[in-house]
Amino acid sequence: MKKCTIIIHSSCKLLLTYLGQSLLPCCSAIYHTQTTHETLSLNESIHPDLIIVISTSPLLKSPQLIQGLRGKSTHRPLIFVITWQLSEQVVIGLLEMGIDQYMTFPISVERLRSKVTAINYMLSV
Amino acid sequence: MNGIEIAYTLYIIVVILLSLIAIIYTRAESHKEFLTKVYTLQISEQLNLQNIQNISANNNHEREALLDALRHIIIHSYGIDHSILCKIIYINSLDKYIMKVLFSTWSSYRKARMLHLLSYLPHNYEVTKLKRFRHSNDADIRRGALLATLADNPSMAIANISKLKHELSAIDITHIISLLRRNLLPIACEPLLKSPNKNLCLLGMAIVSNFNITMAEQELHSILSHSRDQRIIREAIFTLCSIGSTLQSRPLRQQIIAGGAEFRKTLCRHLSVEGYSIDTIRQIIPGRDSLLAEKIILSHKRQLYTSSEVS
Repeated sequence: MKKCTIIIHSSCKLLLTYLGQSLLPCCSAIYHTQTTHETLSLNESIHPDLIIVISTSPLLKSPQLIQGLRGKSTHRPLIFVITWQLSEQVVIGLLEMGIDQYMTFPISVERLRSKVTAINYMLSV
Repeated sequence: MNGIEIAYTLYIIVVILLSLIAIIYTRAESHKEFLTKVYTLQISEQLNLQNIQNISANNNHEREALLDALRHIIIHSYGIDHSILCKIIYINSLDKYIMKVLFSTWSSYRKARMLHLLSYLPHNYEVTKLKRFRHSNDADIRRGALLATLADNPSMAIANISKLKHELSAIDITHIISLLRRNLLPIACEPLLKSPNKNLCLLGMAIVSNFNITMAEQELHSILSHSRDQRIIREAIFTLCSIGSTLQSRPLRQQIIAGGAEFRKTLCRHLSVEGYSIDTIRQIIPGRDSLLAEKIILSHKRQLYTSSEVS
């Protein structure tokens, strides 16, 4: 089965380490970024299948970021947001911007891994 | 050597000493950060493979880093194998280390930090020893002790909260809610809302707003009609806002008018954030007080959503 490439964007190094290590068995490569600029440039060079953003602020600060990441293609890469915020407005706002999944902390690593495995299946078909 | 030269020499020595202390402190902190990262990596590797290898912390500095790594993992995830974490705690005697620091340190900050750490860790400690901290004058220590007690026995959480002699602050309630979310404890909010105990009533309302329990609207209106406590009334109004109630009842209107200008301003901000329209806010808060809502709704963040909807 083909495995996906993931970029995890977070300013917290510990979270990057934890999630990166947890997702390692079900993906081919994981890249860590800490700034929006880094994410954009890495996205252009490696063309990942999934971007996990662990904060709402990069997306709220620049609503065009999703378009910047996806370019003209419609749904690639997939964008997951994991955050502490439960506010309905933020969730709806981000989903309308075009993110694919909104998850809140605390998360189940197993559940996140199963979502990544589902992407692997999708890529293999 | 005259007086000025001596003072100048002393000044130079003090500056050099302070710089050295700052360098040593920064290096220690960056080393701790590095250790925490290594421990996080090791623990998540063990959680993935479901096996227990030796993660050892040999001195207090390493133990602090290991505790930070454990806390970080426990805060951000659920459904992880606690037996592995317990084993790590047992091998490194982390619970004993926390208890030792707790009873030996003079620093309130460190005491509060250790108590908060206890509330995150799987429970191996003696809660009865924490009793004295629950009556501390320091709010952080009191909160830490309460959280550790609640985390030790979640089924007795409500009974323990009802016995409290002090009123829970907003931050206390936020911590308790995050503890409930972490332990996945289902709590019926209706008995809490009907409770004569102020702390339980406040906790009930926090549960309603955090878990968006729209079915509790009737109980909240009943609180508005019967309660005399200003804090409970205000929390009930905010909770009604957060569950998206229509806010049309007469007791509610009376409470808003009686609440004063400052309260109406806070409510205005709350209503805007919860997504009420300008027209609805004008109906709820008549007069000039509702002008603030217009400003907030038309602020940068609101425009951001609108522009994303248009695009």
